[in-house]
Amino acid sequence: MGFHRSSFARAGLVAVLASGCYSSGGRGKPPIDDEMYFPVAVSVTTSGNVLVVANSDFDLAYNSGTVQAYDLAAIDAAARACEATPVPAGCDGIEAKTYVKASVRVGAFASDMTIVPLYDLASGDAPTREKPVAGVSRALIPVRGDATLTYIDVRESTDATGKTNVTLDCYAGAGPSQLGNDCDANHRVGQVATADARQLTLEGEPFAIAVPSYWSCPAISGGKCSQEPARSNGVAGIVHQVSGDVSVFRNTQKNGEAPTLAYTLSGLPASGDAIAALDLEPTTSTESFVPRFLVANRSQASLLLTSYIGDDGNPDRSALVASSLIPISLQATGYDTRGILVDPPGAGESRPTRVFLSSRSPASLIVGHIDPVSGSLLFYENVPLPIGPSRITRSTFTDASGIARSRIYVASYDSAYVVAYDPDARRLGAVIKAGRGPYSIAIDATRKLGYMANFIDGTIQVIELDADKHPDWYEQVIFTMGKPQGPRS
Amino acid sequence: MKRRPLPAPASRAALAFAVLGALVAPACSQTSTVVAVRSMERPKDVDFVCLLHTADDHWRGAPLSKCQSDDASNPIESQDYHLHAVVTQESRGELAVVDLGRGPADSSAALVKTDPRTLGYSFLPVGRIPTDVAADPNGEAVFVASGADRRIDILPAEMVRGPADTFYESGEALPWPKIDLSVADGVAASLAVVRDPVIGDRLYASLPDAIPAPKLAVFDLSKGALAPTRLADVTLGTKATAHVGAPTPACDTTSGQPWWATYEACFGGTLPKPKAPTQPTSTRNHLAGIAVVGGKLFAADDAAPVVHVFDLATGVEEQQIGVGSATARLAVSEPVPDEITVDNYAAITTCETMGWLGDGLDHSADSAVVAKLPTPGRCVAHRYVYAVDLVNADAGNGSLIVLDVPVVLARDATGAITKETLDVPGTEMKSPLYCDSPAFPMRRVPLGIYGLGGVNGIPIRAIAFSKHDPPSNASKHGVRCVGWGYNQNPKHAGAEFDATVATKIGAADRRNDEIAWAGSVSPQRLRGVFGLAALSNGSLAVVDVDDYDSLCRGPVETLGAKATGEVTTKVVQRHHPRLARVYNTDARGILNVTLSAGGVVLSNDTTSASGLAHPHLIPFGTTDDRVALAQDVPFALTAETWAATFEGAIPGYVGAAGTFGPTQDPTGGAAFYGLLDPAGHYCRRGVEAPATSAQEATNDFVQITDAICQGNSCSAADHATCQTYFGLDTDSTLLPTRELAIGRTFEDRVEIVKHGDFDKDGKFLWSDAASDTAWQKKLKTCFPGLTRYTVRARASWLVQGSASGYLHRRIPSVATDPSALCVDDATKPRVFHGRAYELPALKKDVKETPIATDESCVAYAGAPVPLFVNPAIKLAIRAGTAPSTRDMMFSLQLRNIAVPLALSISTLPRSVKSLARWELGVDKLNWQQVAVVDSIDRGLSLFSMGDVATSRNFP
Repeated sequence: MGFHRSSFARAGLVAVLASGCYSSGGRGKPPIDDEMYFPVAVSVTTSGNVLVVANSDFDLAYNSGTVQAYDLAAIDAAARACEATPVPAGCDGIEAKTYVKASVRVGAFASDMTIVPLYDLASGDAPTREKPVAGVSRALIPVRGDATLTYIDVRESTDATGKTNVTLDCYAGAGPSQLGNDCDANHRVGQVATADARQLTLEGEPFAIAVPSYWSCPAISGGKCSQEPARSNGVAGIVHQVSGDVSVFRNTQKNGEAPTLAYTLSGLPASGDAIAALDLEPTTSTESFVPRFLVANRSQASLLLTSYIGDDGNPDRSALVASSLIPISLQATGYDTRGILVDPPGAGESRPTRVFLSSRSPASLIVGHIDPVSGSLLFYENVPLPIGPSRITRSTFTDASGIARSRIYVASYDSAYVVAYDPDARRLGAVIKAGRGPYSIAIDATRKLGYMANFIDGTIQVIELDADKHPDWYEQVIFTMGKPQGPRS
Repeated sequence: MKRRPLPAPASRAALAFAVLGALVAPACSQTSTVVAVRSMERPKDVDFVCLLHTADDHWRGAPLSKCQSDDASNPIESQDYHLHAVVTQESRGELAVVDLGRGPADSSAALVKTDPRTLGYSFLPVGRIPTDVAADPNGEAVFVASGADRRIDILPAEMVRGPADTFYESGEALPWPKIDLSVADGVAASLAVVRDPVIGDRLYASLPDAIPAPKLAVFDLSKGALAPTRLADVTLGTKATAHVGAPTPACDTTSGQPWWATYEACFGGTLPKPKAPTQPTSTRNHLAGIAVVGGKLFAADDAAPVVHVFDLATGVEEQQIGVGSATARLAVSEPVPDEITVDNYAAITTCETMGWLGDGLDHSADSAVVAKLPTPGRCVAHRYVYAVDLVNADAGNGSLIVLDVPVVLARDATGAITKETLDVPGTEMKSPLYCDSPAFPMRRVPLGIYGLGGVNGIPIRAIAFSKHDPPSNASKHGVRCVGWGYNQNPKHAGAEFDATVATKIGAADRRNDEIAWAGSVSPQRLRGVFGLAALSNGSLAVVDVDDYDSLCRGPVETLGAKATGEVTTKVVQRHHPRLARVYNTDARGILNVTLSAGGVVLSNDTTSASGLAHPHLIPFGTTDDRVALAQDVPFALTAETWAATFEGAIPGYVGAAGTFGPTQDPTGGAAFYGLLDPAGHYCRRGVEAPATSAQEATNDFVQITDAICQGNSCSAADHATCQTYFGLDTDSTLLPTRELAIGRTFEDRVEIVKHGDFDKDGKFLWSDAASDTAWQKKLKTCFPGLTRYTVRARASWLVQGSASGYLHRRIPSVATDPSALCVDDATKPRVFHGRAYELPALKKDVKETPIATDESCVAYAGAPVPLFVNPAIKLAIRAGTAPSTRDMMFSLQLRNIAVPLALSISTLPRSVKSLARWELGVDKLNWQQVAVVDSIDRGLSLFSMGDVATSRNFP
């Protein structure tokens, strides 16, 4: 008699949490490099041409997890063909390998991923945020199996035939279209204590990552910037699942350099689960920009606001401080927050920055905003969701009047739904049936498509997000990439 | 899709058995059918429709009044009428139907299985994301609005129980009519069905996303509810919005001002003007919840700070009422008289029993007691609009706005109401809690857990009113409870009723009925008109509007021998949270006042020399109470622990780190030596430092708590110097050289004006920080870069409440400027503070003089005023003969049992509706229950108003 994968997945999670082991993978066979296996995070590169998928090898069936690059132009073509097909069901079961451009192996239990642009800045150079290095993005992946921040530079190039090639650069000799190589130790940050000034190693269970998309240097002298975090070319915060502690990395967006672990803020509420950068837009402050992170956990009905205080004199002494505890008082219980999304106003919008939380206690989307007068984060509404909500994503597409409108998507893992919420109309827009275990969603702003990773099924579903051009398919699954994995023995 | 035929109703039971048999029998086919077993999933809205079960086993729609119960909860009709609840299922796009039976006590109530071919319950498919359901009061149809499809489903009443095919593919036509809305209309958010001889038979649909602007769509139902025709659209008016904020209300004090005005006067100041309500500024409207009464349709607006009022007879928007914040939902009460008191009891009773309430006439000549009303001779009637603001940073999100709309009730010769007219231009926004405490918002009622201490912490998710008027142990409706005998009103020396009126209304007999109600009066018995607010945390809060028992709730001395004996008559007040328990003599007080240092309790017995060495609290009045309540309003007190800590640490600086050095002056002045911490929030955290140098001895100070020479940044020699001068962070007592007096404060930086120092003889002194470059260099050497610190009060006691926190009035001068100068909030009274200053120690053989209980200042030469008064407590600290030491602490517990009545009835409620339907003063349903829809796990719940207990639950 076999186990259902979902049951197995839960059992595996319990076993891993209980043992506290940080396996970099099972001792079994190598992974299938062009198939998804418990995909845990999806994200689109800065060029908009490549979908990066982190597979967690959650049941340790293989000796490592994988990170794959998918060709979005080909996926888009397939999606449009499917929409034109009279029987959409005929599109399901498309082999994932058809679209895989490259793949590398990482530790097991990758748990999140974010993709950032890179900058060619010498230390002290004034930041030129508007001019990132072309053709390269960096995937930052917290990996619980080996307790690292694994980073992979995704290099895209076009060959003479116009074909896009992808290099997942995390090992010596990396080249286009390669599959099956391991990311080397240099790209697994946090294992070696001597690699940072405070002699830190990364705590166990790095679970979720957030990167402020804005950093500036208000005081530039002689073309040089000596202030943090601009001097560090960006920071990233990671929350640890068991301890709830938060680690901060510097140099996350410096081309050619590895991120460095700067500080770990400890003594925080246990069971950290989600983290989001609060500051996503330029500020008018004349002082250093202070990146702030919202951190959620499963044990308390509150959010923690942390601030990265850069030490301009000695960046290695920069620190993360706990600024305030923000109660989540509007829920019956409210202590099991699984996702955070910060939604700053888009072009043409005059509204405060909104903050959304996905809570499992009870299953709901909690809506709040940064009060423009007090600067405080206030929650004012909770919207029921299908059971088991997990991560939150937003799309921001410009409407006919030129105003950028947000739409919020919440994956409900347990009930296999994705819910679309219209924050302006304050109501649900759609309830989309997903595969088993929907967890992470990526938005393709270029093609107005969504990519939903189903953790248990091991599939990605492509969702139509263009209400104007494809109204009949709007917020419906166009096709499923990969075959759902059945029960295993 | 080829559909399977549905069985005739009579054969449904047989079919169910057949289906069951087929499933339990050995498999006869190769593929088994997976049957979804339904229960409610994310239900949202509910309404009620009456159906007649006919002799031939069919169901037919009927007017709602056919399902009416009598006062003993028995159906008034002999035929088999059943009340049905229809409940939208948001996630699945379905409508659940619950057969509630023939009356409130009918135990056969159950979910309806609408598709007999399936196992378990099955629900009716409707448009995706159903947002609102409205049943036709005539019982012809049920209308369901979709939040994703531009359609309104029209379900014929006879079809809501099925049998119906519930398996539909997306896009497949449903077997009942629907209204198609255009792209420009968008989707319908709210529906209302009106059957009115003047207005006509109408369906109203609010279209908040309509292009170019929100509007109401009006449909004519005169040719039948199943064939509506679109009659007109009502667009928003262009008239200027009017704010109806009431002037500052008069309080029940000698001066008419609130109690804290006397404390303000101690400083020679006048009461600060509360913040002016925000004037409507939004250019965008977005209609939200609606309510229809008296020929008007009230609509909340969750984008603009107005409530819309549409006149249904003329089909225009009559007024936009400015309320100061965007609102999400609203409800309108039944007409009620002025709030009843012992003083106006006779007049109000006369108005009600004579049928004069709201008639707009002057009855001065008819009744002397009515002539003495504040509105001489006129029996004023009110409807109240309770609107829930969506976002309100000042009052707390989801708190309650109260609008008072005067109404005129025309009556026929029998006294029956024939017409109601709402005086919308006469609407006034109330300030219900203004006089209770400065901690309460001026024009809002907070109902969440923090409601008793200030801003609302738990938003209201749904709001409704219920009028519950059971005459079960008396003979008449509308009878109030009184605690005194006939003509024994404690406030009346003689007869309380006019003689002729008393005869007409049978006052003596009526009094027997009124006294009869006093027998089992309790906070859980809800007789009268109440607001019911479902909070986002699942609780149902009750708001007192017109409690028929209110004159039995209070002291015997005031209300007569039959009263409850509670300590004040203020336990039941209009638009106040209803209290959960009887507020008797043990209701509130100050307990366990102690003085301690380092966890060791110290004596502060002023009769002993050792006790006199320590500071003590000066007693109040003759009771020897060391701490007094600032005021005695049950709603304004929170049960919590208060602590006053000498030179205590200001909250928020645990783990704080900043950088010392020359710092820009954000106000444009010269750079100064300071501490920069972008996360310091020195204004919002209440760091206090008068700007004048003369008072630097009492300014708050920075205390460096970090280790010296972090990161091996010092040479060995420097390390030795640093350790000698600053000591170690691990020392049991940090050296005073780590203390830096604060000058000006900004949100992200403070000016350092003095630093602790030693003279050449090793004696401590304060040195100027700005000019001491050697010290600045030493500080830089010993604490390079980020340095951990805390901020403490100097020479004063920092007062904090475990729930209320550390109160202060400091704010950034420009809220959005992260470097703004800190200033006092001029709109906050001075009772918002957290610093107690000591009175000088008593001279030898001088005994302490108690403070009068009503004292506000305590005369003492020197500022600041040493009597500490905040919104909860007041106390005065007398210094001991020995100086007070840092972190010495007075602590006390404030007990208060005035907790609001909050029923745990759901997990995440979406809708509240009364099972009463009042039409021109008559309840046409009379089920004496309230329905609550919970989106998470409890589905539809009904609870009884008589004892606020859940009676039935349909998950």
